[in-house]
Amino acid sequence: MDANLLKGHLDLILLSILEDTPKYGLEIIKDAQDRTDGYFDFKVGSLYPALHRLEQAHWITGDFHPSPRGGAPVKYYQLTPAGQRELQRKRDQFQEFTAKVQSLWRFR
Amino acid sequence: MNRPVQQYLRQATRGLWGTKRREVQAELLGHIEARAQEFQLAGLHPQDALHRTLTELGAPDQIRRGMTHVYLAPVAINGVLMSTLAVVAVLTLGMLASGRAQVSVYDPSTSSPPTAFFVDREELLDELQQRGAQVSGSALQPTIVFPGYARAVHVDWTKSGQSTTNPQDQRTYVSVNALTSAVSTAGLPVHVQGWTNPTLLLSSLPVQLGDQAQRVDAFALYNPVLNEVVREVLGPGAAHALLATLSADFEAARWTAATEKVEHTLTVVPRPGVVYALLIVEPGVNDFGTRHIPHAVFDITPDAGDGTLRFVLPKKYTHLQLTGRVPQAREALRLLARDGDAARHHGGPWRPAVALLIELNGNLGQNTGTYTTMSIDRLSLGTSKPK
Repeated sequence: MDANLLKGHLDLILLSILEDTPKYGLEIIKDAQDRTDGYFDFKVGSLYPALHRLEQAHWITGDFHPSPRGGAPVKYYQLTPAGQRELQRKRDQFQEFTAKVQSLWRFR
Repeated sequence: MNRPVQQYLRQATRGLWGTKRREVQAELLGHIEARAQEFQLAGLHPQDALHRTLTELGAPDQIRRGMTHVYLAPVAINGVLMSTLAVVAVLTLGMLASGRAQVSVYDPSTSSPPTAFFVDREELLDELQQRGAQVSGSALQPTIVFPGYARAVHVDWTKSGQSTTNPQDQRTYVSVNALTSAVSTAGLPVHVQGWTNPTLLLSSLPVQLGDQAQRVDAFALYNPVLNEVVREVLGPGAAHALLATLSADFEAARWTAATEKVEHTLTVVPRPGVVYALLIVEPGVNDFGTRHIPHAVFDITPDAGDGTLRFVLPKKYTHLQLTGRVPQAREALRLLARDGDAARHHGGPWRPAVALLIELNGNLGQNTGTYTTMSIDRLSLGTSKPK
């Protein structure tokens, strides 16, 4: 997919992935791939800085917990109440934008 | 930890420092181990699994750039807004992006005063490398070549007391004093600037110690200089087996929480970059009442901003005879050694303790003007300092 498209909606995508359950980096990458049939393929180099940016914005919080398979602990992220509100706002914004763009094609 | 992983984590987190750096490293390590394990379960050999994981992660520099942007960019943007000159803005951004060398500090000392200044070994060497130094050799016996100096600096942190593990973060912390001593022995300049969160200049490379979250002062960095002053007081005839490394049994009341203390307040003409030491040298007596290495009571302080110096000493030193003359301190030591009764009353009204007032100019190089004694000759009466 177009990297600019992904970049432009990265916050919405990450907040959406974290909406239901806390996840750590590797899980987020896989979840994005699984739920979109491989359409979203995050690179570590962009994923972790993005997660830290969302954490700085207080939309998500992260805590270290034991890794499900043993080994070094992993950092699980989850939405904060502010993150829930931001997700809803971004989702509404995106749906409105998509609807308006589609309305331009309706009568072709 | 595997060396390629260690290297990857270091490179990916350059520019970050302290707790944040360790936290990002821990997060990436969790990712690496979890992913490598998946590859192993899929049948790959552990080494291949690790190699594949690191390849999949991509260049560490990409993570570093992203993280630097998250944690340093807001500060840089403020710098730009405040500046009206584009060129200044560019310089500000450049400086912040390169990151100032800051390393975590740990005080493992249960003794008084602290015997040395301990910093995170990995962060220290990493920052020196980032500043252009070449580091080779083993982790605890590195050889460092500083930019502009052909002569290599050989550091040895394997000796007793030169390295320690912080039980809280399981990281290795090493003595800065051992490093400054090695740099100085190689003939390179070593300076410390400032008191709170001081900057150490190793040749010309700055390393900032401590930060807002972890405030430290330069007290323990001056230990070698105090050692030199005591040697001068003892004079050339005072050779002792222990003097090769330690000139006295040092005591600094500032570092003892439980004992009562006395404070001596002096006033000097403030001079930038200078801190002050007060030093009393007494004959040492061990628990069996026999001769021991000398006892040195001291304190170090910067001026309070208006020329006021507040020295903290053990409570018995209420009366001091301040001096800037080393021979006077040497003579006082000689007389005390001959008169046990005088030694008992030393520091009281009947026998004021001869105390040297010294200026420390930040130079930590060996025998190269690290201190000067001050011109003073008067009594000082201390006031009781609450615990």
